[in-house]
Amino acid sequence: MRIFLPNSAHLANLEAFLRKCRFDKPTELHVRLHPRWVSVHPVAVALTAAAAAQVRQLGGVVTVGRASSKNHSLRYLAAMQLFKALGCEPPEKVRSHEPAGRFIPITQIRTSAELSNFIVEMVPLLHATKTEVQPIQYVISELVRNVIEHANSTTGAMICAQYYKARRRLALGVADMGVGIRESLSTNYTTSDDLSALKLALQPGVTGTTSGIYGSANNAGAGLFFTKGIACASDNLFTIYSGSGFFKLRRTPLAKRAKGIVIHADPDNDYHTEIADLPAWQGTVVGVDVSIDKGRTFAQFLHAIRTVFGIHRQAAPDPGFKAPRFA
Amino acid sequence: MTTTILLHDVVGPFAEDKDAARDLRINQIEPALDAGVPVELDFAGVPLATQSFLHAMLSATIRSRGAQVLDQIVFKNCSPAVKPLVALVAEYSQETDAMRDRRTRPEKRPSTIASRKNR
Repeated sequence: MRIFLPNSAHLANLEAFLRKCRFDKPTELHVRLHPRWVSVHPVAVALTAAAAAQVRQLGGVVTVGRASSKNHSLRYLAAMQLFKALGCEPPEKVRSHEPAGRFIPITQIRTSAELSNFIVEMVPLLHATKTEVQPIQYVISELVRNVIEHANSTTGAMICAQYYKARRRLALGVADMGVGIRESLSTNYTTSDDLSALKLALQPGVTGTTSGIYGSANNAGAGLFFTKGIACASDNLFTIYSGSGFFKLRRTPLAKRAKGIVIHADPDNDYHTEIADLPAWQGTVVGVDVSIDKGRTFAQFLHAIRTVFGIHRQAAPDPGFKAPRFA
Repeated sequence: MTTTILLHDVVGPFAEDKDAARDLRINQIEPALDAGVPVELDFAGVPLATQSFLHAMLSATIRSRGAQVLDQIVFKNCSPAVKPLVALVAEYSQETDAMRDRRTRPEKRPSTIASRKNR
């Protein structure tokens, strides 16, 4: 496998970064850094860490290309614990950062208990308000639980994040080297390719555990739909990559934004980019930006997403439906 | 008599652990309902829950017992973020496969005149 961390790989242009990756030899990983500086979304860091974990588990070799001492990103990458995840020394000696207030370094999560602990422990790291933390906790829980329950990944989920306090925005990446979405859905759904499987998984009520309506007793099949919906409602980007398929939710164009941002149940109706022929990644990688701003609360986001979920199901409630009793 | 379940004591301030949700359903909610005892789910101190958690805690119970089971369950102290999710899960869990099939039945085929024109 070969990964080049460039001077720009964010959600807006992630596909260019992915296209240059090579995932062919599962027991070798060579990571190269841009000679001057590296500026990447946490999703690129999570993907690199997931690849390294898999190679190391197979007893393979991970190497990092030489970097100039003038590369100012080495401190950032070291603070993200990328070199620790790769099992290599940084190319140059760097002083470590104090992580509080800016980012969540690469963390490997394999079990439900580890996830629950992580969600509690990461809150003080971000120095964010309760309101800001809610959507972040929600998205992390849904994405990592997907990995634990469906990916069948021996190395679990790799997660890392960066918080931009000025913009009150969290950039989050979650990557695994499991079976991938198409394989996960294959027991109950037949899809023509990875991209079709991705788009199917983004629809509410679709889960690999059953073909029945709205999932099984323990799986509703709405985690990815909610995550995409939260990104959409907060006017941010969302990407998902599995096998050769790639889907990116784009921002609503300015001209259309005045009428309000619309969340869609069918990803084909979103403003999006889709690609079917990227280098095949064995597993799933999700990148998402989340923010709370402009006077809107997370509860309002959830209410909007719930409305879409309802419309997707039916135009009007059936007679005989009961509403839950609140006290 | 009512069985009151204080969710904060089980899951803390963020209800997201689906294993805990399933255990609550199997070991506390279902047995109480079986005994004809109403259940009060108290979300005090739990400002946030995931839809997945609520699904694992409620959906199978509503599906297996029907909508009338909601007369036996009260959702107490739900925050503005939890309320829409409880409503959503309760709503879709009442939908049966037959209802879904009725709604998603394919549209009528093109009229025979149009079909003949294409011949």
